[in-house]
Amino acid sequence: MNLEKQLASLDLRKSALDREQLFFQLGKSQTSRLPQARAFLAGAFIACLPWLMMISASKNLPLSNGFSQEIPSPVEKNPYSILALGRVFLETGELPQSEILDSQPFEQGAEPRENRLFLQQPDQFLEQP
Amino acid sequence: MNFEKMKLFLDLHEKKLILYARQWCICPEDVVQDALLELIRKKLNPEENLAWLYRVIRNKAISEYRRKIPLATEQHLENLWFEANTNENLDSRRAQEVLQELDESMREVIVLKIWSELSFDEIASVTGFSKSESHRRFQQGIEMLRQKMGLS
Repeated sequence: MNLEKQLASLDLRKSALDREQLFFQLGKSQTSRLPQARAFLAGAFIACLPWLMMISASKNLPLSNGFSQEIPSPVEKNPYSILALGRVFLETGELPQSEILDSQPFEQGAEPRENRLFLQQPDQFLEQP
Repeated sequence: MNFEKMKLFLDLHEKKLILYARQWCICPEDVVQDALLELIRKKLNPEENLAWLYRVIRNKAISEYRRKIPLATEQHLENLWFEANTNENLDSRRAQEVLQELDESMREVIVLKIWSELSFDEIASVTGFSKSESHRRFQQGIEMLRQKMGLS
């Protein structure tokens, strides 16, 4: 047996590293991509924010409402809104009769009826003397 | 690098890395630990960057050696490299003494070749010697060991 093999056959002294620290660092290095992903998602959200606001405004939805909530149709939300009337007009070719408005007396100096139809809610209108 | 691969790597190389650092310092575990942490932080594969890891350990161990007072002979003797009486033909204590008497560069090449099982190419990249120079120092060192141990 030559000297090199004899030396190689010697058992190295037992020593131990702090493996827990090494594995902790290893886990940390593997999860360090999360902040980058968060930053990317935040950037994407900010970039989409004007578009979301535009969509929200066009549907007349409050921004505070979560997307998980059911979005009310324009007709349910406001039966006398422009969108609701527009939809009825597109489907039937006629504007709906608004007996509530017609039943009220037309005062002199008041806004034209067509404008009041769009500017005032029916309930508010009925409460007026 | 996953946990299982790291565990296998440590099982295979832990003692070898510590022995390499032990040539210069009395707390080689700290040096190897630091080097491995650096490797993990840099997200390097240890198997593919073994020479790099040895080079980092070398630099850290030598700077540790220079920063502290060189070891006294008693400390050197207490700082055992091998388990006692593991080889009938070779006394482990005597082998360590003879190795420590060798020129530092020869000892380093011998440790890297015999216990770390690096190729001469890898040894050259760790130590900074050329491949042929590494080979020459290894042969010279082995010859000197043989003479000192009375085996020639």
